[in-house]
Formats: sequence, C-alpha cells, structure tokens
Amino acid sequence: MNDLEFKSYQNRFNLHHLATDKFKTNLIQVYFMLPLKNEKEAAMNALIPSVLERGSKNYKDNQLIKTQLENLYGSNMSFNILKRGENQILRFSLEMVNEKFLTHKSNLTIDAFNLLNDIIFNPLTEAGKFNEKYFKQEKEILKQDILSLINDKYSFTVENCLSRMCKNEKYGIYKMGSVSVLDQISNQELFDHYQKILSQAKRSLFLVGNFKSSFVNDLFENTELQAGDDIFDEQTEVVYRDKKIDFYEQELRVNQARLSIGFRTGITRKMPDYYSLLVFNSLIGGSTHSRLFQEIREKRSLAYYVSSSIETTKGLLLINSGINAENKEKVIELVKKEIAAVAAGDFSEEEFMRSKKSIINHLKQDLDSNKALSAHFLLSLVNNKEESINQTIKGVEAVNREDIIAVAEKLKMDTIYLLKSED
Amino acid sequence: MESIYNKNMDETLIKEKLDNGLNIYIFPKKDYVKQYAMLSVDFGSNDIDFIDVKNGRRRNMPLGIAHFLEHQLFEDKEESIFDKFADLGASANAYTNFDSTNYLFSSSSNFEDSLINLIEFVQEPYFSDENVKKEKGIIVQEIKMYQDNPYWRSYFNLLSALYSNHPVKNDIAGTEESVMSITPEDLYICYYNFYLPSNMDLILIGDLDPKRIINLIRENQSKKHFPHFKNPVRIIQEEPEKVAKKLVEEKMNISRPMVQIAFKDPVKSEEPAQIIKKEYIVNLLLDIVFGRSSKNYNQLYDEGIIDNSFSCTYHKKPDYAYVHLHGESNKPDQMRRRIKEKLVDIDHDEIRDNFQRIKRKYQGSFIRLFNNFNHLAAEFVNYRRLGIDIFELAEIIENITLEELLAYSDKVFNKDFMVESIILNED
Repeated sequence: MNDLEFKSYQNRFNLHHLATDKFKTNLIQVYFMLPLKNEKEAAMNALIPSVLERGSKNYKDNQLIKTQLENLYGSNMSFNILKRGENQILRFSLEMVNEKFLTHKSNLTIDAFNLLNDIIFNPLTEAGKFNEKYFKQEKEILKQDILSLINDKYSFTVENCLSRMCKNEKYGIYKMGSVSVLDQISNQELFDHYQKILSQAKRSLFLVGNFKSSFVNDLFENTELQAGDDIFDEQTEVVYRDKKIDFYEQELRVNQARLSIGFRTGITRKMPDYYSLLVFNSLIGGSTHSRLFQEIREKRSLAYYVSSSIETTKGLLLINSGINAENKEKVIELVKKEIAAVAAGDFSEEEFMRSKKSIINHLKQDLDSNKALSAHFLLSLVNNKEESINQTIKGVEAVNREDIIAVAEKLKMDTIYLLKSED
Repeated sequence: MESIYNKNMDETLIKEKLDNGLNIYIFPKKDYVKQYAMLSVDFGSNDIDFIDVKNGRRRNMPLGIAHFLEHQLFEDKEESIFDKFADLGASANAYTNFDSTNYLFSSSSNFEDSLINLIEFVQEPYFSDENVKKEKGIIVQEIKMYQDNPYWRSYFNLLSALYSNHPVKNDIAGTEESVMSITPEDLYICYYNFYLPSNMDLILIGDLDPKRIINLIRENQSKKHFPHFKNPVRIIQEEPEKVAKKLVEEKMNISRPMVQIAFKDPVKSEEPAQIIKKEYIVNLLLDIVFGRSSKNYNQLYDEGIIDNSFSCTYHKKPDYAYVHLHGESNKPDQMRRRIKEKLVDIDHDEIRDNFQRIKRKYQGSFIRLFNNFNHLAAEFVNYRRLGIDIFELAEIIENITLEELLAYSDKVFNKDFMVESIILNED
C-alpha cells in the first residue's frame, strides 16, 4: 500500500507537503486558527473570508476573480469556517487541474496561487478599511447564512443540542457567531481584526499533489504569508463530569421530529483511547452494521436515519435520528439499552470485527482523496499528534474488546434535544 | 473484451458484454487503494407504466416503487446484506433516481467476494408480507424527512408545474399513500420485468485485474437462468408542449423565501450525441449569462437580490428537458422580475466575448471527473445509457461552436414555457 504522508518542513512557514502524482488535480490550502472567545469575534472571523472574496488589489471585484478562475481551467477556490474543539479555523482552498493533462502549455499552478495570495493578503481597501460596500453587503449575507440554519432541520437540531449542552463553554458558540452581534461590528474594527489575524493567528500551508520543485522552493517568495506558530490546539477545555441529564424540546411546524442526544466521552485524539473510541462509534451508530441502525431502523422501523458521530478535540459523541415524536421515549430507551449492552460486553466477535474493518476501509479510502488526506492531517495537527493514515490504521488494529467496553462505560449522557411539530 | 486507452487523460476503459446481456465496464486505476463497484439497473422512479413481458398486460405501478424495490433488495432470508459486506470490510449502499437504481459498494480488500455479494443480492429477490410491511415504516420516515427540506419541496412543486403527464413530476420516493399500498406482488412484477442482466450495467473502478474479474463474473452468471431477454416496453403518456401551471406557492418554516424558475424545453426525437451536445451548449450558455463571472449575476448580487445560493442548470434527457434557476432571496418578486427581463434579452456580444473561457472551464471539469470514483461511475452510466462513452465527452465539448450557443440563446428562454415555484416564510 502507498504510504502517502505529509512532510512537515521545520521552517518558519509551517509548510506541510504531500507529494504525489496520483491525482488529476493539485490542492493548496492556507489555514488560520483562532481560539473561540465570544460571539463577536467568531462573527468577525467568519466575515473576513467573505469580504476578502469580493475583491483584491489586482482583482477588484468578484466578477474579475471568477473570470480568472475560469481562465485557469475552472480552478476551484473556496473558503470555509471550521470548528475544531474550541477553535475556529479559516480555510482558504484552491484546487486546479494538473498541468500535465492539458493539451496547451500553461503556468496554471503559479497563476492560481498568485490569485489566492492576492485575495488573502491584498484586499481592496479604502482609507485603511475594507471597501465599504463589500463590508456592508457581506455582513448582510452572513446574517442570512446564520439565519438559514433553520432551513436544514438536521443541522438545526445538531447545533441546538450542542449549543445547549455547552452553553457555559466556549464550544457553545456557533462557528459563524450570531446575528445580533454582527450589528455591533464596524468596518474599521473588522479590518484591524484582519490585520491581527495575519500577524498573530496560528497558520499552516498544505500542498497535496504533483508540484514542480521550483514552485515549492519559490513559494515563500511569492506569498505575504508571515511567520508564526503552526496550528495546534492549546485552548479546548475537555469537560467530563457526572450531571443530571438536561432535556429540551422545541416546537416548529415540521413533518418529522428530530432527536439529538449529546454525550461526553472525555476522549480526545491525543489520548490512547482514541482508537477505541473510533471502533466504539462504528459499533454503536457509525454505520449500517451498527447496533442502533439494526435495532432502531432495521428491526423496529422507527426511523430512516439513526447514526452517531464524534468530535475528538472536545470529546463529544452525538446520536441523531429522525422519528415520530410519540416514539421519543422508546428511542431514548433503546439508545441507553444498546450502550449498556456494549458496556456489558454483550456484542459478538463478528460485530466487533465489522466495526474495525469498517473504520480501516474508510481510512484506506481516504488515501485516494486529496481532500480526505488533508482533512485527516489537519485533525492530527490540531491535536498536536501528527500521524499518517497508516499509523491511525495500526492504532485501530490494536484495539481489543475490553477497550470498547471501557469506552462504553466511560460515556456520559449529557443533553437530549427534540425538535417536534406544534400540537 | 475491448480496451480503450485515452492518452490525454492517461485512463483506460475495458468493456465486455456477457452472453446474458450484462454489460461490464472497468476503469483500472493503478496505485489506488479504493475499489468501487456499481450495478446500475435501467429502472427508475419514472418507470411506473409499462407492458408486462410475461403476459402483455399494461401495468400501472404505485409511485415510488423503484425506490421501494431498492430498499427491499437489501432484505435477505437469514443475514443482513449490510453485515455480509461489513464482514468483508466493504461498505454497501444504493440510490434511486428518475431513470435508474444503483447498487454499490466500496472496499479496500476482498473485492472479488464483495463483487459476488453485490451481484447475488441484486439477483436474488426475497419479498415477504412481513418485510415489506417493515420497510414501509422506514420509507415513510424518509419521505417525511424530505418534506421538511424546502429545496426538495419547491423543486418538486416546480416539476409539477412544468409537467402535466410526465412521471418526472412525482417525488422519487412516492407519497405516503402510494408507498403504503405497495405489495410483494407489485415488487415481483417490477423485478422480473426490469432486473434482467441485459437491463443492467456493471461499472468497476480500482487497481483491478480486468481479465480475472470478467472471468469471475462470467462464471457466476453462467450458473444462473434468466427467464427471458426481452426488455420491457415503457409507456410515457404524451406530454403537451405547454406547461401545467405557471406558478406554485407554498409556505414553510424557513429563514427567507426560496425562488425556483424553470423553462420547459419541448423535446423531439434526437440522436444521443445530439442530446448530450445540446445539454452542454445550453449549460455553457447559462454559465455565460448567469454564471458566477457573468454581468447579470454580479449586478443582481450587488443589488442584494441574489447571493451565493443562486445557481442555474439545464437538464436534458431523451424524453424531457428544462432550464432550472433557483436561489434564496429576501426580494423574491424583484428576483423573479429581473431574471425574466435578463433572459428574454440576451446580449450576443457577451456570449461572443466569454465563450472560449467558459469552454475551458468545462474542459477542466471533465479532467476533474476522473478524480472521484463515485462521481465517475454515476456520470459514466448516465452517458452510457445514451450510448456514449465518457471519453467522447471531451470531443463533444471541444466541438461546440459559438454559432450553436447564439442559436439557442434566442430559443430556450421562452416566457410562454416558464414556470415558477416559490416558498415563502410561514409568518
């Protein structure tokens, strides 16, 4: 098997480079990591990429930017706001076709990188601030983005559960801030904050693909990316405690009730238990062979979807399902019963092996996707435990039944949230 | 066995047709760990009305039966199908769309055993009163989930405004009532009519040994008997040229109004290559007049009428076609008015000035297609059903001319064939 690994260059720019000619495209990502402090800063961090994307010194409006991307054989540029533990991560991503598949000669990689660089580091400014029109419009659009969470009832339920569960922790802050604080943000304040990010935020640069060595060598002469710390988490508070379970219900006119149950695992990616948690999650609700899928969907047809997911920087596990509201108690009881069964060691060798194989299969497939390779590496970097996919696979292989039982015993149910229709 | 090498893309396609009619297509991918298989049945949610090959009787099936059949084939007498794949370290899935049902798995080892599993479970139906009843509960929850999705709701409202008779107006999963009415007998009728090897394509992608795999499949298929080789005759009721309704409005619990606009494009009998070419021509055209780099998009964005949620596509199949524009807006009436104004008055100079660049973008996206196995398999089968191998797409795109774009620009946006679907906020 190929061991596709990132090489980290120990210079002041935190370059992480995975060289491979496997893909038809090359991927460049610039990351800035910021601690979640309050809603206002979260909103400012989320707003900055949108304002930058409107226009730069050399590409003054979005039409010029999009035109240039099309000229570059439809290169993709995208900006994302991620939340990992109690950090916000701004990701600027650029993916372009590998020049060798083009019939015409082209300096695609360099041209595309110059565009990305211009957008991040040379914004269109006036009087020491962002362009006022861009600032105002993007603030309005971010408001709409935040409000539009309600259109997606799955994410709406997840976010409502998490924000209630972590209401006294930084993790409870929504990754895009809130509508009410956006009104308090001025253009000057935002621009000052942007400059602070450039000089103070942790940052990394990822390359995945078949880059010419001259491109990599000259990279830092062609960018204004400044030196700084690499992205790793020093901020997240892992809360793990006994408490009474909180119940929340919210009513809206919906056809399907949505249930979200939040747990504390106390386990993060840094810890040896991490691999056991991966296997446990697969066994309980991570896949179609899982206990919850079998018991709630296949045996009792109570739901179309029921699944579990984990957050391994903060130490959370979430179980989600779409049900009829009158089955709420039944489904919660089944969730409790299945976790208790695993804690009692009441699972077959086949189930155990399926769970391990499933994780290993998914991890191996990540080796075939530039974005999956980068996402895997990002998470290990953030958690200050750099490892390749093959190292993660080794960790999963070593997990035994007792480890799974230990994770199940450790799990603490914290908060239950139900979205249901008005009576 | 036929092998086609595409030098530009450095990709190979292996083709084989078995005696029972099953088509096998393999993309060997050296150095890839992932292995992917998709068995695609030429039977989708549109195929509800057909002549039964057994007795020549016309069959009118409940809406959503293809999707129900997809769910039901995962039922086995003894063991869960999902578990069988999981034991091999593979993960199985399936999806149904308007014109096909697709069963797939991805693996990183045990490919051959998983492949036999896939073929076996699709070719061994088991429908009982009990498991059909159980599946109804699950599918009703799936339908309810989609009913809470404002995009999905307004999309099907839009299709029902476009079409009076064509079955594409119906939700792929059917309705709660139609699903509750499905019987094991209905499923068996659809199964023996459509689930023939000659009505299926098997697409395999990964670091595979094509000869060995083809022999394995041939051996497996030679042990099976299929009652007939005739493909069923589908009936699509004649669709009038004009639209069914001009406007559908609905209220939901959403953050701001959602606007969807479509132009019905009347179909005539066309060659497959022509269908695909037209699909690309009109999409290029849409990109020029309403894409992210267009004057129109940027002007309306600037005025706060549309934003990133806006997108436009042209859908073309042999039996139906329409232009589709949609987006969210706090000014839905202005958005509707302005889009109409722009589309009936297209600037030919804008098409001339931007044609080459947009074409280049499509060339880039063709190359990109080969990065993602799932996407490649889905697109491959889509074009294969029309009789085109995916490599030919590059040439089809290359051969599109400016004159063709100009000619369509005055035709496809006809106000008489326009419909609108609006979702407004509840309060």
